[in-house]
Amino acid sequence: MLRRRDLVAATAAMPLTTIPGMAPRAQSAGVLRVALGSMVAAMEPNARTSGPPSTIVYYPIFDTLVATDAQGAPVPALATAWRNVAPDTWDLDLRAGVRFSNGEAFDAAAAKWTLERVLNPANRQVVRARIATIKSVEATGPLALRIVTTLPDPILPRRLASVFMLPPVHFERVGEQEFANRPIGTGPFEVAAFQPSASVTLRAIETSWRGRPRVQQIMLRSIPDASTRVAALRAGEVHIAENIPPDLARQLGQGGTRVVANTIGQTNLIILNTRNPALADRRVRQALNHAVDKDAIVQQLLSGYGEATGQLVASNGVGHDPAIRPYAYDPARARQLLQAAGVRNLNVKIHTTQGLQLMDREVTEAVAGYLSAVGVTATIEVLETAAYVDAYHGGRMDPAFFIGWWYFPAMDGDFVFVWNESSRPQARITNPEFDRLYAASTSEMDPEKRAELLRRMGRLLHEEAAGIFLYHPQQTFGVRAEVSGFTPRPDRVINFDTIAVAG
Amino acid sequence: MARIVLPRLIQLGFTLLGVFIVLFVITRMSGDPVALLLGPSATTESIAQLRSAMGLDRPLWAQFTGELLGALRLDFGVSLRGGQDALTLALGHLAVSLQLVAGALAFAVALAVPVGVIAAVWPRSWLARLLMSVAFVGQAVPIFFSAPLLILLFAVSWHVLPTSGWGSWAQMVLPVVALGLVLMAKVARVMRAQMLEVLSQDYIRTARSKGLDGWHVVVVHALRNAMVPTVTVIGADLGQLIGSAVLTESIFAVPGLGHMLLTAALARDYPLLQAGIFLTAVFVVSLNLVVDLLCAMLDPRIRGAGARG
Repeated sequence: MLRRRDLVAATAAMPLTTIPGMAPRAQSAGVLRVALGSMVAAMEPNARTSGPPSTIVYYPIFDTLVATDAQGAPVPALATAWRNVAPDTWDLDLRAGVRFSNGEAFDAAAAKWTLERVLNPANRQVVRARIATIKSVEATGPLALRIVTTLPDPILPRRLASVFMLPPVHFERVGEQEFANRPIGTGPFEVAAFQPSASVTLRAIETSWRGRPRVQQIMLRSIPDASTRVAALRAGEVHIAENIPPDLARQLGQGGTRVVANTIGQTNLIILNTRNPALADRRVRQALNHAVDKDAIVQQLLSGYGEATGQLVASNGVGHDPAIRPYAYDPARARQLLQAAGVRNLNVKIHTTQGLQLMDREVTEAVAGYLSAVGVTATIEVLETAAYVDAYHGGRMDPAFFIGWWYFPAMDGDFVFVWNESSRPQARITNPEFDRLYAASTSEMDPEKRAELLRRMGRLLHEEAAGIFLYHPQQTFGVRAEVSGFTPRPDRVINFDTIAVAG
Repeated sequence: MARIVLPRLIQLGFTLLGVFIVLFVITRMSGDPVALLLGPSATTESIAQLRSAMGLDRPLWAQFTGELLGALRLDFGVSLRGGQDALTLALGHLAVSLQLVAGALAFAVALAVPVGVIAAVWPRSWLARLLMSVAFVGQAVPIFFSAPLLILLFAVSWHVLPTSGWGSWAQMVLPVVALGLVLMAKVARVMRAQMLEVLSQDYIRTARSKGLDGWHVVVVHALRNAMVPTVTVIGADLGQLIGSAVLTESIFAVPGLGHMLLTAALARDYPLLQAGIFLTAVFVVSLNLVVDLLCAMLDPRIRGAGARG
């Protein structure tokens, strides 16, 4: 219900404070200015949004129990160690002496409260889906946490990398709405100002367990238009701009700017419905793979910001197999395979999106072009994002669709292999051997044996050509020369703790 | 006065009801806000769970009546994305849009009225031709071209204004100019046409033949009458502008209502969408009302018609 106080607050929400005159330039030392493609509408980190760029906003303020390092491996954060004491039971040691920025202590009770708050469906926490395997959480000591899962869960520690720890006392005093405006965490920054969907200013604090950051302040703001983001970077208004499309990346690399790129935990491919009679023959699906020049797509459409692949997991995730090479670009072999399968006048409709993934539509069009070169007629249907996601979950895109499957922040292949388990409505393959391997992987507690199971699933999907494997995309940042200590991470988080700005 | 205001209020009620129904039907036809919120890596079970927690698994008629009754009390619910009261959130964005549009309007009128008048008083002069050509270009060049050009020149090359954002006066200049240029061109053309017509009328000739000063005739006798259709045109445009400033808002990163509506529509954020459209409809209808009142002020004949009828 709207109250008059809200009306006043809303109209006063956009003050005109700065004196007219010169544009603000990013020159004052110790202030890092960052342009993102969008900004969160509220700052209750486990509740509303699951993907980037929201995680970029939350990591400076909050901590998870387990974090992900630059190589994608789980590393201690608020939990210093974890042990699998029984197949379904994990014991975690929590870090001593950690305080939230308001002074409230972080302990096992706070961790239990946070996890239980996320797990309660009534609280509508988006992140709940990531840790839904948890059955119960117990504080077995002031800094000892015991987590029991419904079934053995070998990747529980990685799942915990999605949940930000909240201060129970403060949260219950101020309530959900107020907390979402001025959140409190254990990270080295606190919120100084927040304009929903527009900008947030973070102030460094001295007392965090992560140590003192190298900048005094971070100003994150949303610039939805990519060319304006690049302009802001070139004008020196911001030091870092995320998500630079390949065509604009060419404008950088001079005038004190550079492009920083790295492969994220994601695979872009065209899923083929192996249950569709037209694509039921494995040779046909292999032919489609041989017909497409992945390297050319990466070089020409993505300006090189991607890695051609033949599997679902890049080298930054568990389940990657270096032995799996991309299908060679070989149109002659594609024709042979089609001929051997006795296929003529094959028609393939490929569903895709526009703007959900970088260059999604353009890449799909290029694939259709390559397919027509070997005599396959490919038509494209572009769906609006919401309709596409609906059709995906309903299993209504037949026989082929472009998708970006991601496995960050857990950086584990389980998050992409799961879609091929034949009982899932999203699955487009029925393969008893795959189902057997997947079932075994979900209860294999030995990390090495489990990784081998994932690699075997990867090999099987490659040989079965369950999709037209394309590439692992890279994320791109525009960065000014004054910035040092910036290392992009595969889970699409920016680690602000190490970044410095030269005066 | 009541003759002008009352029909408008009734019209507002029907408009809002119609908008509410159309929006409810369209947004429910495709797309699931929960699946979008959880992303493509969400499982079917987790989507169903969150849908039910958000009350989106209730029968459509129950959702419809619930939302309609809420809307009658100005309670649109909380934004599915942000979790805050949808109307409060939308009002914050409307405040920004109003600043943007008011700025653009002020810029446009300040330029367009003199240009239109000059072009009408000396229709064959080189100055009139030049000014009208410039105005024509302003209307012909789309914002997605002019806005990046303004950014490149004033922010990247000359460093005199910031590229984007909303909060300081300097940040407001480029978006206001970009949006104002389009409006300016249109107003100038209408202004010129109206002035030409008015200036050719008998009473102007009479005024001139009475020996009144030339500029006195133009400003007092002609301009006032030429303003009536111009104000109507501006009014009609402004209503559109609040929603269609979306391109300007996106390019200059202005957190206005247009951009909010766009992202809310893409995310199927039903409550935020309903609240935003509600505000837009209220704004457009009230604007029409203000235009009617203004015209009545400018033209006594309209006032008279109201009083007699």
